[in-house]
Amino acid sequence: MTAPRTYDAIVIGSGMSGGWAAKELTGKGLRTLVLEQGKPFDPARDAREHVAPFELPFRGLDDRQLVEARYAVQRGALAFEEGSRHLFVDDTQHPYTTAEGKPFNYFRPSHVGGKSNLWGRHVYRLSDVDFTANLRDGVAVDWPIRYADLAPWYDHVERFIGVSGMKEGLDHVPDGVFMPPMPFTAPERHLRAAMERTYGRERVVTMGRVAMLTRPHLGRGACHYCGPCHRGCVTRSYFSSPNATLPAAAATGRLTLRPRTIVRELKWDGAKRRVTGVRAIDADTRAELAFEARVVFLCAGALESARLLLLSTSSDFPDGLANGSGQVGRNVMDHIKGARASGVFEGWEDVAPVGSRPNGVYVPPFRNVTARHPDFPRAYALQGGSGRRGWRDAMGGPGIGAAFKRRLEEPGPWTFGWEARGEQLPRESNRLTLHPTRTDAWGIPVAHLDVAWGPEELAMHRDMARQVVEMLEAAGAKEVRGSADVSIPGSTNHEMGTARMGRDARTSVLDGFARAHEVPNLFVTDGAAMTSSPCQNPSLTYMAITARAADHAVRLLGRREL
Amino acid sequence: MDRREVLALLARAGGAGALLALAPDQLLALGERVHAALPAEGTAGVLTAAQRAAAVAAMEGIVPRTGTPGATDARAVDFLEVLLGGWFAPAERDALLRGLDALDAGAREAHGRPFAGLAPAAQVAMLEALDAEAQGAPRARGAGGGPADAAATHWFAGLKWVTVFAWATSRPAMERALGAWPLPGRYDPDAPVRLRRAAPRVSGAPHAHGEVAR
Repeated sequence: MTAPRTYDAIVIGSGMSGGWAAKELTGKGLRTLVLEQGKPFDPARDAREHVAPFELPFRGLDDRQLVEARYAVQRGALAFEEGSRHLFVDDTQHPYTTAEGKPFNYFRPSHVGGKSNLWGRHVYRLSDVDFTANLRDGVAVDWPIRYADLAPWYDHVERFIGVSGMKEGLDHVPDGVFMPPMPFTAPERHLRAAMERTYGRERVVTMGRVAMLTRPHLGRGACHYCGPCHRGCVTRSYFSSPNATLPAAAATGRLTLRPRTIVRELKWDGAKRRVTGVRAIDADTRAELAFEARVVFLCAGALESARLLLLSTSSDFPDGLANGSGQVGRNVMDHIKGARASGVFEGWEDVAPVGSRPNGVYVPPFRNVTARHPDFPRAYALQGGSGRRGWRDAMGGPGIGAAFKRRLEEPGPWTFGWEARGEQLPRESNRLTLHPTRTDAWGIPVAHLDVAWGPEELAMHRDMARQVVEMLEAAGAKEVRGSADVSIPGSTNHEMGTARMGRDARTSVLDGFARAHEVPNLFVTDGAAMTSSPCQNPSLTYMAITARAADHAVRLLGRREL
Repeated sequence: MDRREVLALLARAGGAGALLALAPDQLLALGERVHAALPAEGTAGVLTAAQRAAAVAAMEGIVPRTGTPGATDARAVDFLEVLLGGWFAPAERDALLRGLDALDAGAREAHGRPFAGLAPAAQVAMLEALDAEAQGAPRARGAGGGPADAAATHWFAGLKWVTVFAWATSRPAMERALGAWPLPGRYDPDAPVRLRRAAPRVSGAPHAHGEVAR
């Protein structure tokens, strides 16, 4: 593949943030090169959401031996299954190491679009409860932005991606630009009313706000409720880079997308005090590549972006590009989860769902929103849903023959389950570094992760585990069973914080526009930029930060300030 | 396998003309025997002919053809072969194979014939006894819920798990027993449950509901 060497902008990564950077930069007139380590992904050709269980060799059980040998880590990802395995990396090609006694799950995508192909599609705005949290609690550094800075960009992003959801009027999870929500099931309507009776507006059961269309939008079709979004979507009904931002960028005629390209270094020019481009490897031919641009957007995902900065050393930056603060790779955060509960709701036996709603209910954070909790700072949110599991519930029961089969064919009881996800505090000790000797399949030093939950998260987790059970019992669920597993860090795949934004170059990597304090033409707009990890699913914020950064970059270019 | 497929199979096997006089159930039973003798498609064929015949009969006993397709219609034994051919760990596989051998040995001891050759009532009695034994067995590895855990609990629990799963994920059962295929192309959480055996339901998608999304 030959591509010109010189562009106006280079975007590293084509996922949630990279796709947005590509769309915004090309839309504002910049000839933009997007470099992606993964393989091409075209929804029309590669989406497999309609493959039936009986068309999969293992009917969804997947190839156990293959998975154990080559996907031992990736298998733990929520979206990993037989029909989507090909969208994850082969662990043997992408190793990483962890500190002794501190496991970390590093889930990585293998195609253009990155995790935007595989995400859960939930989108929630942050608020000033979140943007002021570090300042209020005396933790880490203050966010350099407030809700007012990001609100117009949340609007901008939501208008393009299409978000279905309900307005609730909650200041701490602000309403956005919504199309009609997906419907509740009968037990979920009951649960919403029961929570309101018990907790008032403090604990609201709302329909998930998801980047999934309930009506046609900008050339994309409405959801047809087939179920497994994470295999891709031929009607482009959920937001992903291949479904929306990359086609928009391509339509400008200014996009060059180069898959299977592994960036190994950002090139720093000490005389110009700028990055001038990147050095890369063709993943298949191993050919050495070099590209140049006036501005670089690093959107490789929080962990890969940090790794790449650490790999980019020079006499000016012996510890990694833009790392004068020493904060690159530090403050790794994820959302703690594993506190779950499920139960059975009696009634509504004459109805059952038709179709598969790839969404569930959401309970916005309710701890430390107004009153301070005595045991921990910050908050958690709940996600869950209900259904009638039919044969899946009945198969373990006693009996054989026609009577047993009849139970398999019945819809079964209404079951409901939910899980909490909570914020992790930023800590400098939770850190990504480069392994001194181990390398990946391309000879590049691998990431070494030293990450653990702190006492605040574990205290929060104890509260989560109690509340998920109590709330279901309060709503009248029967056979309520709770689980208090503490997730391995990384498991929520919400890794962030490795190049935090801040006001001071001595204590943070990026400014309020996600621009490197020390490298004026470098923007890092993925999860790395996050100064804290509010429990709301973070992708919407990454997109808004990216769009805002792209706007800023183009203004600076126009003023010849980059 | 549906009736037309049974007929086609029998025609290929020769002598179809006389078979048209047989009642549907006799036809199906014969079809099962012919089917059981065929090697599984695309598998290593771990089961011996005797084990395969016992498995077919046991699986049909667990999920029989009623007004809707059963385990034989769903070719459940072929999926068992797929799992035995490398999915199950050797110890799990061997436990299942020993179980099938023991099923045949028990049938011979009590009735002088292999399990597949027993009268339906005798088959049911043996399977019910095994099911009661498996239900009472201490659960291996806790809640797990997959075929490996079931097989580790009791070989019959493993066979039953595979039978139900293979049936429920087969085209015939999804189309004609579960109303899960083809995809409806819409979502209605309040669809009336009219026909018990063709109950509308969430499709077979692994992330269909009740799970938490990122």
